Amino acid sequence: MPTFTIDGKQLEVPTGTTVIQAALAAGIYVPYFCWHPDLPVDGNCRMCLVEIERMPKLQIACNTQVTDGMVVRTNSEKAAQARRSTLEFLLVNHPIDCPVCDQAGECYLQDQYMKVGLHDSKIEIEEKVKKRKVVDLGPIMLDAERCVLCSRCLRYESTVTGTNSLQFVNRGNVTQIATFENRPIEHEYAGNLADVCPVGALLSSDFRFKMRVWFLKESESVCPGCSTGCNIYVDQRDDVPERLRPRRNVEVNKSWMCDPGRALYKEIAVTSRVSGARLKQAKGWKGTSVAAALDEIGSWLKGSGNSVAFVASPQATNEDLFAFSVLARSVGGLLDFRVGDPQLRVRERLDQVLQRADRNPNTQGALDLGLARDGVDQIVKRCAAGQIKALVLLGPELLRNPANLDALAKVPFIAVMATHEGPELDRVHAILPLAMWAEVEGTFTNYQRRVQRLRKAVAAPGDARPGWELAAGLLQRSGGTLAATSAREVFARLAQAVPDYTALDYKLIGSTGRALRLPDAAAAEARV
Amino acid sequence: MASAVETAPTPAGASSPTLRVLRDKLGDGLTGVDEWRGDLAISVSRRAWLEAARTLREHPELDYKLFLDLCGVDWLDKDGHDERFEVVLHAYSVSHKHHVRLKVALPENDPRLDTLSGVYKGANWFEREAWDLYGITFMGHPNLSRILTHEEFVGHPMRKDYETPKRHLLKEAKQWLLKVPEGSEHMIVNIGPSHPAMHGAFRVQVLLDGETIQDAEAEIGYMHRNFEKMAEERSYWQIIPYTDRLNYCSSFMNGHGYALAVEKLLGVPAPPRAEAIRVILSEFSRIMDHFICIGANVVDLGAITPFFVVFRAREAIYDLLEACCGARLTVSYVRIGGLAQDVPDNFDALCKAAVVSVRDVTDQMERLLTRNPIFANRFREIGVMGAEDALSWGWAGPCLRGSGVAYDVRKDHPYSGYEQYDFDVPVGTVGDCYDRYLVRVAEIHQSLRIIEQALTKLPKGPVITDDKKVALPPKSEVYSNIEALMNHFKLVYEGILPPSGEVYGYTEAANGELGYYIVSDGRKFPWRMKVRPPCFAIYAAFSEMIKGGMLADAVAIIGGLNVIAGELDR
Amino acid sequence: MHAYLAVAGLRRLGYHPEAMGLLDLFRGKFVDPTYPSVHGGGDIITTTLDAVVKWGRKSSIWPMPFGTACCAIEFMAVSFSHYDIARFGAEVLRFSPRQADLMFVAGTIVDKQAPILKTIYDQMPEPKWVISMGVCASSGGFYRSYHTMQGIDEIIPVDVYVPGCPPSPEALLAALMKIQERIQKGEQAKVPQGEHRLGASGAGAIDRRERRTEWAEDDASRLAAGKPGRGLLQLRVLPPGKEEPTGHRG
Repeated sequence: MPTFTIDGKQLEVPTGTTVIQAALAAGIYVPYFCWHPDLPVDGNCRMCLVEIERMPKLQIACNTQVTDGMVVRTNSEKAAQARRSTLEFLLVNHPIDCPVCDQAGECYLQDQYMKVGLHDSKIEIEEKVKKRKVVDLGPIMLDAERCVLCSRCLRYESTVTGTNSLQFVNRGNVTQIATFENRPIEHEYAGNLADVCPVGALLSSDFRFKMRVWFLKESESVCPGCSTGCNIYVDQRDDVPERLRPRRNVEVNKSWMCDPGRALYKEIAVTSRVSGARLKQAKGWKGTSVAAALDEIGSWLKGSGNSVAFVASPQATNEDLFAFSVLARSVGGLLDFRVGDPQLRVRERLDQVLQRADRNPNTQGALDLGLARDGVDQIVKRCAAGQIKALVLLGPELLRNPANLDALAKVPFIAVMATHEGPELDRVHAILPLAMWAEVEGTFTNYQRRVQRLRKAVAAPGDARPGWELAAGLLQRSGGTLAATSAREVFARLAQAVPDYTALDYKLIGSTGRALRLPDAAAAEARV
Repeated sequence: MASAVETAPTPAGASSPTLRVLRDKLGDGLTGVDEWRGDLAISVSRRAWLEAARTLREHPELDYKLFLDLCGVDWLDKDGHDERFEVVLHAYSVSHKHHVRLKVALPENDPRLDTLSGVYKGANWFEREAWDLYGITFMGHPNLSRILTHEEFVGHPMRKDYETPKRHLLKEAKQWLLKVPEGSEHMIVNIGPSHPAMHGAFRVQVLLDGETIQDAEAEIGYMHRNFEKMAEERSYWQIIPYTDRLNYCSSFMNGHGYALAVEKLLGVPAPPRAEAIRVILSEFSRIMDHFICIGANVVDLGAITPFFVVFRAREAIYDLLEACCGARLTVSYVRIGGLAQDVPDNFDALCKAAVVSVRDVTDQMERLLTRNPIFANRFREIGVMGAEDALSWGWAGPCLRGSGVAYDVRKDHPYSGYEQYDFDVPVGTVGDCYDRYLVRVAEIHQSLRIIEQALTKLPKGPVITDDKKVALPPKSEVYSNIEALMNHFKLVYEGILPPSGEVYGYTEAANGELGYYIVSDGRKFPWRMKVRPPCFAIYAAFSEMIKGGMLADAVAIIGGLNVIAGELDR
Repeated sequence: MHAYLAVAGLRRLGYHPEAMGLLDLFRGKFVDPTYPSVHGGGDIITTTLDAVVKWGRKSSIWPMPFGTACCAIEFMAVSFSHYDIARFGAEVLRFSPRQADLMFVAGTIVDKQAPILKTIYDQMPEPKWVISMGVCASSGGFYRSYHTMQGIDEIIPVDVYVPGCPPSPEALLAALMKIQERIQKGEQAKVPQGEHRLGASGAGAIDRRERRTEWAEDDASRLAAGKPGRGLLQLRVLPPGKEEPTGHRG
């Protein structure tokens, strides 16, 4: 554990820590382009130069390990001058692109110009070396002129995805990055290239020209795309989500996420959302208030005694599932969630990076909460036998399987909480508008049994509301009560009821989540 | 920078007599002292508040007789602030030429404080404002009611958790401000707000015994368009156009004062050429303002000719402003650290033409008014305000000087290079409407002197600071090199990022000391932006002044006070 | 009813009907002198009573300035000698609504002022016109906040909106001429055009969800017509080694 001094602060750090890591951990600003916490050190951009006592020349902070008694000055005149010169060099051939560049607003060049540069230009526009612009690489657009040759993308391709699609070509001041014959980047982790690129050289084709980033507001959330549960930011403006970005969590996804996950924001602000409750009548659908629909469903539940069934969805948050299971227990009847047996694939990898075969974010949570009870097959069988008088669905998964249709046709009353319109909703008798993951507060439990928080990023459309609120409404109409008015309180009830969750609350879960102990067999499986 | 405070004799830190006297007097009640950018700020406990204010005003060694400002601050969920609310008092000692800021923290669940309306007369309305906007209760206040918002308003809008666009509709205007006493045969007359003498935006009700005013009550808020709330959601540049619309008769001066306050906060001075141009245009604006005041005043009394006359000179000044920045009235010409662009080549000629025109119409106006017996009879001995009372009400500018107090920020705390110019500070002897008129006319002549000196001395050089964290790069650079382009981008979307801290910047505007109390938490938006509006304090005294006088005199008095709605209600 | 009105002495005023035809002052155009209703040679022209009343009305507007803020100062500039509103016959400013037929709302109207504005408007006799001077009166301007009315058309009808902060005097005179046109044509706003924007969202004037739907529909119709969608702006890729003709890149 070496002890050293940086800008007059005495710090003790673990052996092997680099100066830049120690500085950033201590809240000291050191500029950099090529260094990335989840990539190997390359040390080529020379922005992180610092002055170290008893070393004749300035050293790069990213590749210098802290030794005992080292004295580092990050903002001495000499270091500042060197950084300014480095930045000036990097800008020599940089095009005058900010107005047409999507990176403007989150560009390292802009940030560092204001922090360490502020120099005047010495280069005429005609003298700049021109390179290729607007090269379409599929999910990524390449602009070689904006590149600072930091090689982050190259290291990402070689160490994270192992695809090596990008390389440097040419030498000297015409060096640029390129793919072989301009072939598109074909793996499912291309979006991260736009994130690792500190400048506007690699940009997302999807986000391109859609929104200037300074209009966006970010909220911390968790990707609902699979059981990995990558930590993300939802960037929105005026309640329209514009993009998803990975949020660093070393335990889960480092700084990465997959492209299918990135595309999930597109499902939120679409016109096909269920925005109001409605009931089926003799002459078709009739729109109604949520309260009236809840009344109708509640009266069916009351009139059906024990012959009711509840089917939940592993897409729902723990709060929704908990409220739903309380409802099922209070009413009595059958309960399950395993439509299509997601629990068999929770820990099964789809590739060697992040994705998992179970495309539900919260299968583990549903298992933990004890929703795997009576078996979906059993419920369908009872429906087919005409023994179910009312069926309440949290999510429409059960309706989508054509094999179930004959059985469901025998149920006199089916109610569903749904987020999106679809042909399957024609088979039910009452529809409740359900808010999506980005519109609610809640938690998911991922394949590692890590409980992670979602935060409300955008407003739900129309009357749509969280599943726990709808379940609590039904509970109240069937004589029970949930004793909670917010997701936080529902979680507190949940923590009281579910043994492993006892110690948790929202504050403790924080922004990076809290892992629960895995059963040994599952732990072995997860390691694979 | 030629900031007002830094050139002032500053009794710093422990040696400050203010601090020493207060410490002796209050003991534990004094909880903190802060001196930053030359501003002395003293925090006291809630119990010591009244005592501290009384000591400030009455202790002969301190003599903070001039009440400047009292406002609330909401520190909702801010680190380093245990209590949510804060009340801030600014006062000035004319004899010792020193400003002081007195602060007290109040808890969220019990924001109560002793009223200062027994110490400073002017505190009455300022406390009503703090109650209206922040919900701070002042115990012992004679009339703690809504002042800027309407009576059907719900909530306290300047609180940080109040959503800016949330409106409350007023269905019917309040009918009566006064009551006829039981058994009397007095009559209530309502004047305004839609009355020519009330300039569309203030209202006063008087209780008449014949033509004599027995009681009066003024109502304001008819132009409360929320400058201070908007400023909390605007970057430091974006606020400049809003300042133009405070005192819109002399919009340039508001921007000038604002820019100086922010420059004081940043510690970045404007270059000398910019300061000289600011002085010239500010003085022209002062002349315009005085013209409007005098012109409107006599129109209210039935004489429209002088108004026609003075507007000729206003048009000459409009031409000058238009040539400089393209706008006539709301100029938005200042920038933090200088001016938007340099003046045109014919600036000198335009200024001289405007000076000739101003001199010409001032002479005509004086021939029409000064010795006109009808005018003089309606103005002399009307609305007399003594010096002591004027200070206590928080009067400043021509009105205060009309009452015989020679306090002029330009002279006492010179800013923008006023110390280089030779000019006099006219004062009145009686403190009546006629004195206020004479002071204004004399100030027009002094302003012309300043303008002529500044024109001959006008230095060459840049008109905006070269600090890249404050000033936008020139457009020619932005379009031709990446460094300037990035600089422009970052400044526009990130704004100017000042250090955390608070300053009170003040200048001599047309109506008196225009102060900007800016609290910054280091972000691009100010945390709190309080304007000390000179005519708010002046108009507060109006209903007291007219009591016992004739109804017709009230009209003469209000015109002479030059109350501008944009500044009054913000 | 159509009545004919004869006006004598046109020749003395410098009109030459023999050479030019007859000038119908009230319709603002020349008429055929052989028109059957023209009597007694060149000095008499005819019109309808309705037209002459409108002509009189538009040429002698009595405005009531409802000035509250900065715009009122600029309104003064318009009414005084330099811009001289008297050229349009509108110099008789009345501060009593009962004597006025045109209201200039010059300045921000806040919620506290709103009932007063409504009362004043109601007190004006018919027919009456309203000019909303400046952006504050028209839409609240840049004061989107808790006490500012987001446009006077929430409560009273508006005939002409004048943009500007404040509008230039020329713009205001143009608005006055628009009002004269409207008087001539017999047009008058009768009901408040705006709805109450009480508690309007401050996040942005336009609902972006709606706008996005509009874009999607627009793109679909363009694609159906064989044009590229607006969202798919085709960027030109420079061939290597070739200079941009303008020298401006990016």
